Amino acid sequence: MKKILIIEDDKIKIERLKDFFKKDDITLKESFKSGVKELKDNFSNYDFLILDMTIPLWEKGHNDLGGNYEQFGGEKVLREMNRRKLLLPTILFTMFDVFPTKDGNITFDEIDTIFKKQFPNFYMGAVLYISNEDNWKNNITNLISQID
Amino acid sequence: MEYKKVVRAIMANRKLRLPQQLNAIKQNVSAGQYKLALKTNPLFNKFLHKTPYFSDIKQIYIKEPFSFTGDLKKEFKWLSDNLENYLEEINDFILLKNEFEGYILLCDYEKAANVVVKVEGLYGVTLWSIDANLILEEHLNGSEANWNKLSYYLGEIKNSIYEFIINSNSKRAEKKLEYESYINQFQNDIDNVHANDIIKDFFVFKNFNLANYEYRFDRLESVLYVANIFSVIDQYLILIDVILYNTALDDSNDRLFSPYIKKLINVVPNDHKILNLYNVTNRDNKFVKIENSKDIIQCSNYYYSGDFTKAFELSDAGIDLFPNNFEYYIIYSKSLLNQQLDFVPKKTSPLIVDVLRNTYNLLSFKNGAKDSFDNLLKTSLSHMNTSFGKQIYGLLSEIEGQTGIHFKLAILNAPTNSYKAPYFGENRPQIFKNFIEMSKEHSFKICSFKLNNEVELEADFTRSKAQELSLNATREYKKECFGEVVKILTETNVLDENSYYYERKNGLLFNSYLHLNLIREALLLFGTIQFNDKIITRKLSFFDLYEKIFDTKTKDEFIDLIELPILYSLLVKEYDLYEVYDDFMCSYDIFHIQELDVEDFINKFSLEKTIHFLSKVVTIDTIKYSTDYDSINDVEEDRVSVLNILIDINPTEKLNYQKEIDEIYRINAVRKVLKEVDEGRLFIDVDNLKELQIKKFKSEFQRFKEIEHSGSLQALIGFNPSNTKNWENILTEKNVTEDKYNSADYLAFKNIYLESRNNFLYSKEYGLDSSLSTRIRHGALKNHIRSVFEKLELVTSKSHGIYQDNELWKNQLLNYPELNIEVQNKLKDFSNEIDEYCVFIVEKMIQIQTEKNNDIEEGLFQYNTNDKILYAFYTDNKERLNSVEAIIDIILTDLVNYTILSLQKTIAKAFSEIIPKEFQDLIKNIILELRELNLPNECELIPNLTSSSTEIQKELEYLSEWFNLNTTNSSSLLSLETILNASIELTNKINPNYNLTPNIVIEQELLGYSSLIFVFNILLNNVIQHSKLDNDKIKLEITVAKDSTEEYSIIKFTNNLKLNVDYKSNKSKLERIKENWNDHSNIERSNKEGESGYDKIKRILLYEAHAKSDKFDFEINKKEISISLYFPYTEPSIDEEDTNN
Repeated sequence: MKKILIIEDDKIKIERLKDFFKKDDITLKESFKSGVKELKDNFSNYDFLILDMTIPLWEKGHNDLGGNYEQFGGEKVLREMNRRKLLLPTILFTMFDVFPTKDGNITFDEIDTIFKKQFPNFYMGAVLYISNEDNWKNNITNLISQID
Repeated sequence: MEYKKVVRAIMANRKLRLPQQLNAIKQNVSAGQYKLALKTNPLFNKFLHKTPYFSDIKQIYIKEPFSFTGDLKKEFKWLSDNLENYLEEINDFILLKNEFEGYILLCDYEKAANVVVKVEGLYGVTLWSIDANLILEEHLNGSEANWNKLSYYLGEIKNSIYEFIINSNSKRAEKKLEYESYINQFQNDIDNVHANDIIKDFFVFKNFNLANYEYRFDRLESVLYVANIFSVIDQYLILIDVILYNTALDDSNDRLFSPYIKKLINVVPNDHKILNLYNVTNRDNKFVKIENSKDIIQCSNYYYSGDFTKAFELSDAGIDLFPNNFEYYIIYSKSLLNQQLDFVPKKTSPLIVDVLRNTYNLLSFKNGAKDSFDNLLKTSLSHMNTSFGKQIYGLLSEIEGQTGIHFKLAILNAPTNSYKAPYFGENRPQIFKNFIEMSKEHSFKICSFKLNNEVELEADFTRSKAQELSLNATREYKKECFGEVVKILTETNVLDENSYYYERKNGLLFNSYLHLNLIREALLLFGTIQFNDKIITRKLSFFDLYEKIFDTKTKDEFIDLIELPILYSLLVKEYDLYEVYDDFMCSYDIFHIQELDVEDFINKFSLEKTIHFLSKVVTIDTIKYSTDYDSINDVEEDRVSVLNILIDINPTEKLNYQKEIDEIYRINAVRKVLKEVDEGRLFIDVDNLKELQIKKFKSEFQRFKEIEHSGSLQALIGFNPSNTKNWENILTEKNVTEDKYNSADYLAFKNIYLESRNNFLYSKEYGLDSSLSTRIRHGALKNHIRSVFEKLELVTSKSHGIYQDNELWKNQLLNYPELNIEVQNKLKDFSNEIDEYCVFIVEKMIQIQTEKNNDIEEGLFQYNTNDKILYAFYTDNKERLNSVEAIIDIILTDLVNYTILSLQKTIAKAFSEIIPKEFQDLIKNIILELRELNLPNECELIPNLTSSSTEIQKELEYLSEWFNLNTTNSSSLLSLETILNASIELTNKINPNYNLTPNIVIEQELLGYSSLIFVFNILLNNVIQHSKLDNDKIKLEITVAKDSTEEYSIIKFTNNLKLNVDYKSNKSKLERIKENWNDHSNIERSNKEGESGYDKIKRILLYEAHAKSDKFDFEINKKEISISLYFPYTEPSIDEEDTNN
């Protein structure tokens, strides 16, 4: 049984992940704050991290009037992990195949390449979640097998 | 003789008419054989030379440019060949053009005007003459005359290309229009015209070639192509500008242009640019002396020998004699600055004095002279089509450390031979041979020396130590001996004494540190420069330093420098800034901002740096990323503490800091109000309901008790309307209903229960349906849901019953018109599906269902009961039903518990499963459909739809909290301004396409309950819906004041209206509302959707806000409407005890 930390806020993805990892011990955090705090406190207790890209900054109800949405919240979690040496193997789990930025769109593959270069010590790879397909399960399994 | 074959084939094709034949020649004959090909038929040249000039404005038409070849050589040859017949006339025109520019510099507009008249008489109306006329109008008669002239031209020349250019000319000529404003307007214009790439290149080049704009056709073949449509005068001017641009860029087209330039030096000698081009590009070691060059060279020689007195004298005279040579202005200014002398104004034209003063100020690099850069930018823009303007822009580029294209263009535009020619030496080694005659000149040698060329220079080449050091350091920098540069510049303080050299020193030193990867030193120098309030530095790119740091693996060597977060604060924000802020703080073992010892910081880093750090780095947006904070409120508290420290250490900025504190408190108050409102959306005033029912059921309770007592002796049966009726079988079948349900005591209880439940659900004052209607169903829920999709540009609104196109995707799919149509249709369907489902949620789901109205099957608020349940309830509680208070309490407690425990589960399920699933399906379907269309990569539609999938879940989760039932009114009194602010915030949130920013005038401080937010929301939504104005057109003022009689406090909303819209029906509705304002008999209508929002306002004011308004008024005219709510005003009673204290 693996100990898995999941930082994810999308209810549907959470349910799918819970189902997929039903034999494992999972801890769920739904925001940048709670995710990073958990990593700071207990990262060594986990086998790996499943990380969403677009997550809220604050836990529900603690946010500002301006909104709570961090388009690249997942990247910020990776940067915090890198900066604080919280080197837990991490799989990016996203449903975006394209990420719009102010300098143009970045594709899923491009972001995967960038992160592999930027966080070689703990970033394992990215998995694309498409609601009506199950490929993500194989892809996630493959990446997990590399951790082992 | 390949052309003959091609021409023969073209001529043999009988389907081709003359223009088509010419087009075929342009496309198929090689550029070098155009002339020969065109000679094969006299009709060709006759066609091409039909109208070289447009004798008057009415004659202007678009000459045939034929098809674009996309080939620089072809476009160049086509245009330049066609100009050959007119070169002598062009030479004469250039003389007049130079004359005109001279008069403009001298501000002699009358003479300048005469020149333009002459030009138009000889060569007709051209873009050049139109531009000249607009400039003259501006100077002679002001901007209004300029606009009138523009209007005249636009009226006469109905062609989009001319219109665009003339409009830009007019704006450039406007004296009061700032450079930045011109850029913005130009950018808007270019974005809005949706011109193709060829035309766009042309527009940018012709109207704004000062910018570092990326041209799609980087050699400007597109510009040459478009030039074909104009008169030969304009064609020539554009052609030369394109050659100059290419020459300044590099030498790759020198061979193409050289033969033509060689020809022009003899035929168009009046154009000094041709001579400069020739000297730089020819490979024959030839040099053409330009008249009057000797004077400026001599002046420059004095300057670079350190004889600043003599240099000043010569430049002073030079400006009088050759005002169009900007080099004199530079030496004039630098000579004064080297002698540390103040500016000496000249007795000459105001324009020249102005340019001279700004040049001096610019080169002084003193902080007080910041405007000089912008002023010179404006001058260069106004004179963009002249050599003078281009020379000014060259200096501005140099000041910013850019010696690329614009700097070189300035050299090519100089009206004399320039000692700066060695700048072209990098790609064109021949220029040192071409310029052999000038190579002995001191200034030429110095320029070569600076650029690290081999040159023999005397040991004491200048009398000025500062000049010597500066030149040596520049040469070493060019040699890339950056260590040597640092050594030269840090060994002595000589350069620090003169701001002109100090700026150069800092630039060279900073960039050398970057090259040497000395980040710590670069950061420290950055700090010195940033906080030096006397000097401006323009050559430094702090961004380069930032990038260097970004790419550095470890920041350990400089993480303790406060300059690091300060640098970042100038360039990045939010998490990017937080990262270095946190690293920096941790390096001093400060793990929380509250641990910061300000005195220690000031001693360590200086007061100025500490102030910047606290005000610009330690902001809410930065520190909010710390995991130490659990909520935004804690972040705000710390920011307020920081601002209070800033007030202490920097009292001069107290007002600004206090303003930020006030804003934090305002946002905090608004957030609290919104939270209170959301938490209390579903409010049933149980206490009041109880009180009301106790009175109401007193007699019924007595009756119930009497029946109960008599029933204990003998069972009384009553009529139970709930019994199932089967009228067809009633005569033949036995009634199977259990007798106990017909017992009179149970039925008496049932009556009380049902009526009590009815009040609980439908009481217009305190019931559930009122809350649902006024706080949830009335626009709020639908708007909140829709706002998710609106924000992401996924739904549009209807116009005349049809969903409109979405402009964002239309623009992103501009190059795919057919795809766009399909996408728009799919989005319209999607908008419709979202809207229909929203209506379904509001009209079918957020409804109360009882056994009496079970036609609303989907209603989530199910309060159905039946005898079985009710009888069980009755018998369970029978013992406790011993007073009216007890019975009402038991019934209401049961209803409340049911609502809180059971119903909220149902609602939570609906909002977390049923409704999200429906939306997920809608989103999933449209994504699948769109994927089949293979949208281009740059289109962000699918990512936005993907975002909406999570966003709608969040919104629904947030909305589900609205249904938490509140039974006590714990609202505190709040200032009316806070409630208004919260209401505006909420209205804007649910209307993402609008951003109401009303002017709130509070003349009288009032307090109110948070439920007033719903009143204001209705009024604000009315403004959006009924004004029929676009977002940016709405002007709203809200005033809170006493009326003249002091009997009332008035809250008045005034907004503008759309012109030419008939508001008669609104007026008559408002009249009816005014007439019936104190009639509350129809207040229950407020629970029905689609009914007047004013009935809802009346109900909220009466029962929830406890602020009954007994007067309503409105005013409406063609331009604006105002709505006034009147509240009886009572003077606050004075507490004697307080007064005594």
